Amino acid sequence: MTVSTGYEVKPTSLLSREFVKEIWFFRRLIGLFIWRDIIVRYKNTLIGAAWYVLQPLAMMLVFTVFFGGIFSRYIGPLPYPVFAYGGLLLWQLFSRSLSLGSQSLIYFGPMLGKVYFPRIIAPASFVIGTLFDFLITSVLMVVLMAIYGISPRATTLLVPIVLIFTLMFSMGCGSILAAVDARYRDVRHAVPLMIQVWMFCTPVMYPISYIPEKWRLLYSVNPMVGLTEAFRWMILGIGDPPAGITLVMSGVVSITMFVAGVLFFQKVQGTLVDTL
Amino acid sequence: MSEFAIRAKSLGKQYRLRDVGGMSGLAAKVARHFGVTKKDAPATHFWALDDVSFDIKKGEVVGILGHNGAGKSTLLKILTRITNPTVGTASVHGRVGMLLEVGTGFHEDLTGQENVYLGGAILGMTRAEIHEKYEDIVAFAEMDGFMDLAVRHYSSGMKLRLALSVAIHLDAEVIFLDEIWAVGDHAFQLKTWHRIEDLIASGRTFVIVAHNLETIGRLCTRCLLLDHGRLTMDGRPAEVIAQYRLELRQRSQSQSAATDSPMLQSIDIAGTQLMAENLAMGDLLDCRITLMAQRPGHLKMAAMIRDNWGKAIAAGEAEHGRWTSVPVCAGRNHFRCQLPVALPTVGAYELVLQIAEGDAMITTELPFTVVEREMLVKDEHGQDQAVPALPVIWESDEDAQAATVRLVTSG
Repeated sequence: MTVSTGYEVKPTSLLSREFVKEIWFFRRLIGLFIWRDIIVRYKNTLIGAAWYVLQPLAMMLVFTVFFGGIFSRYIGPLPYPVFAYGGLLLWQLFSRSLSLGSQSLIYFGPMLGKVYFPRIIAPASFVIGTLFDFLITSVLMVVLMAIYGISPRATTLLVPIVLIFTLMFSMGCGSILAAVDARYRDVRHAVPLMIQVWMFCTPVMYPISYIPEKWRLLYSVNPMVGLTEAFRWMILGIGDPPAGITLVMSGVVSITMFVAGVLFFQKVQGTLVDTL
Repeated sequence: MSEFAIRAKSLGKQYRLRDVGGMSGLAAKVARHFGVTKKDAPATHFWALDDVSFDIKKGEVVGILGHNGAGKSTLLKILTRITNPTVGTASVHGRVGMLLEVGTGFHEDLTGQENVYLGGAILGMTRAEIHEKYEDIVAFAEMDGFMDLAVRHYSSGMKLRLALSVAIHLDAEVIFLDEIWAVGDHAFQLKTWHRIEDLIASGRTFVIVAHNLETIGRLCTRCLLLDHGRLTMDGRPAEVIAQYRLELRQRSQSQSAATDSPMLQSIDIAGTQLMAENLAMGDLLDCRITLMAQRPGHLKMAAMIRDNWGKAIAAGEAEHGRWTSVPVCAGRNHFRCQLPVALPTVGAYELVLQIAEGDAMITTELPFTVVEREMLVKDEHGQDQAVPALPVIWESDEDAQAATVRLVTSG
């Protein structure tokens, strides 16, 4: 194994077989960092997990009060709160993983300057760790469906596909943003704004049918469009089955972003600590 | 298998100084592009390490010497992959252990036990390996009974002991060591050194960065001397240490030549010596200075303390402020400077002695290390608690005693 038998030090680190072996060697570290963050979070808060449910719950209530009337007619018989929470559930996963991923080097900064492990573990552990929050927020979805008497669908089993694409996409974007932030601190101020605007460009509080037909293709360049629509179809059966061009496009964009993000991060990772 | 543990070829590391004009990153770039800042602004790059090459054979114990900012830490950071070199390559053969700054990755909210597992994994230990050595790690750190407590309740000494214990139990073949002699009390330091000597005896390769020349001289089989990022000497410890001491002296002399003070030009610092190089909180830094002067006169003297990065962190305050005026006679002059050690953290520092006349000044630096000593006391619940030790003097009060005796005999 590369780590236990030595290594080469070179000016730039590129993607290689060594890199893959090294990630494999340090894989347990990703799990340990996730475990650490979860433990620490629950040790220091009074209501722990409830915070992660409260945020999408509060947003769902706000959406229902202000936009429920406007968008209800686009979504048919489905109660608007369930519709909105379904969108928020996935959006929460995306926005949290993107924002944590982009801030990961800030949190890991002091450690990165003192010890070596593949730097990509920092964004990776944050991004993957948001799956835990996703599971907790999903509990409320189950409760909501029970309240409104909506029975679960077999297509829910397809959800992991959407989750993987979502996390690949945010991992790609997050790695690039984290690496750029190490050099230009502007990123940490821009990301929250970006996420806010992005949510309005994604069918979270409204269905895709609200967007005029002629703009749909352009609109679907945002991979979160196809993923959100597919996600809601899988759990609630609303909208078109995700066989269309939108999901294919989302998948392609997600994978491309993931590969581009990891490659970019690997290219600059060797000197990240110099500017942190 | 290669007979070399480390091979470094033309290693160089260029750092960018903070961009000119107080602007950071993007703003500075934009400003330069639009000509707001001058194109011929002073160079913003410097080489912290410049064309450094060496081979270290398996089993060698190599000490790295150099002034603050000579590139020692940069070299270690490159060899341990914390940062990449700008040019050059290096290869390290064998499993690598790092004792750079201990306590890395310890989280205040996790228990001692949880931190051992996390810290070990960060250093590259497998779960089975940590599990197998857990008892030894706890025993070595003398932390039995404290492992279920969150680390935030530990004393700083306990944290360092536990972290060091984890690191020292990593079965590494190539070990990088930097400033660890400041951990724990004297007995713990001795134990640590015995362990390190055992590792050396068992044929591990060591690269040691230290300010403590005694340690380097005692342990190393070879020394490298760095100066302004360049490797200036590579040889036997005794010779390299002698050269380093010479440079320390010359550094202050060369500054004196540049001054336009006749008084300063007439003096020669014949010797400076710290009576002890390892000090704990509350100890006195005790420095002896010998000056050769060609003519009588007056000089001003001041002392200050710089940290490992060359930043001033404390200055001596004398009767009339920072500077004390002293008379100098022709010939040999002896001075003594004492100031208490009251520094925030353990680690490497230097005492900077400044000798001046008017605006002209010469300085000389003396490295020293602050270590931590601890005492156990009972807290309000009757539990042992580790606190920093301060030197205390107990003696019989002769004057009061004499007065009492007089009272008794006269009354």
